[in-house]
Amino acid sequence: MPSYPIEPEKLLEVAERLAPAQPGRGRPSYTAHRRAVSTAYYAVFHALTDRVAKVVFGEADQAFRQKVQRWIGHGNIRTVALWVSQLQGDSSGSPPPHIAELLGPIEGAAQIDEATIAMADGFLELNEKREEADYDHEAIFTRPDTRGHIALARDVVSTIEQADSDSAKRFFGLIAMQSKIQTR
Amino acid sequence: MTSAAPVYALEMVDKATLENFRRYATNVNVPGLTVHKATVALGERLDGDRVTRVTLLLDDPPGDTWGVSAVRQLRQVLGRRATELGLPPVSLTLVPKSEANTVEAFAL
Repeated sequence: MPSYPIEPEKLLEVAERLAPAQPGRGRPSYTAHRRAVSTAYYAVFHALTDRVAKVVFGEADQAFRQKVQRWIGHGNIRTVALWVSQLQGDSSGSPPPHIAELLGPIEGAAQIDEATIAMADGFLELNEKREEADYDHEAIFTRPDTRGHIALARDVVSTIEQADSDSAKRFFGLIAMQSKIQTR
Repeated sequence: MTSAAPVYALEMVDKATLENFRRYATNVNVPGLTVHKATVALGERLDGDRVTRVTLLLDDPPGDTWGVSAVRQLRQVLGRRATELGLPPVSLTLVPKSEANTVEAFAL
């Protein structure tokens, strides 16, 4: 039976086609830019859910992991990414005290490395832009800004796929713990 | 336990704070990026969370876009300043001079 899994690289290719670096005659419409940004975000989203499932269920087969991935919501990832951003001072507010103590203890080494910061920052940026692209009639997506979002998504997907530090694994694990098993 | 995220209301952020942030954004210094104009406004996400929408008019990039690391640095610098001023998280929109007319405030 044929299988057509959602692959981040394929999504990035679609985003590139919607807003190419060399547009040729004419130029893509701003609607195409919106779809490109949204598609680039989904490349990051699916790369993250794939890594989270692999970290938590490393020995499970692909079919199992794909089912589990569907339980990870956008808000689950956003919550954890925002904690990381808040601890860096890049976003206002602060995580709950026990989370702050977990990720950035007063004594001992901080549990957040550069790769984790890049994943959190990139996710938050693209999550916000995806929402604007899909729902905000007043949002503007210029050509270089759209190309920038695609480049950011490519960078973040690569980091997600390669990140192997303790910090990154804790980030993936916390996302899993934020997620909820759907009863049906 | 819930996150201790601050609750923002439009009336809690005065115009002077937004103007302060707009001036900061106009003069921000990140290698490879030259800001000419900036607009700042408070907005709301679908989930009701507040957001500070920053739109910057920049020189056109030398290639198809600006550098990922330069834009990340710009986002971090603005995010930290917004946090200091008590503003909600920043959403950044970059407009090259060649597309200035897409934003009313930047129209030539």
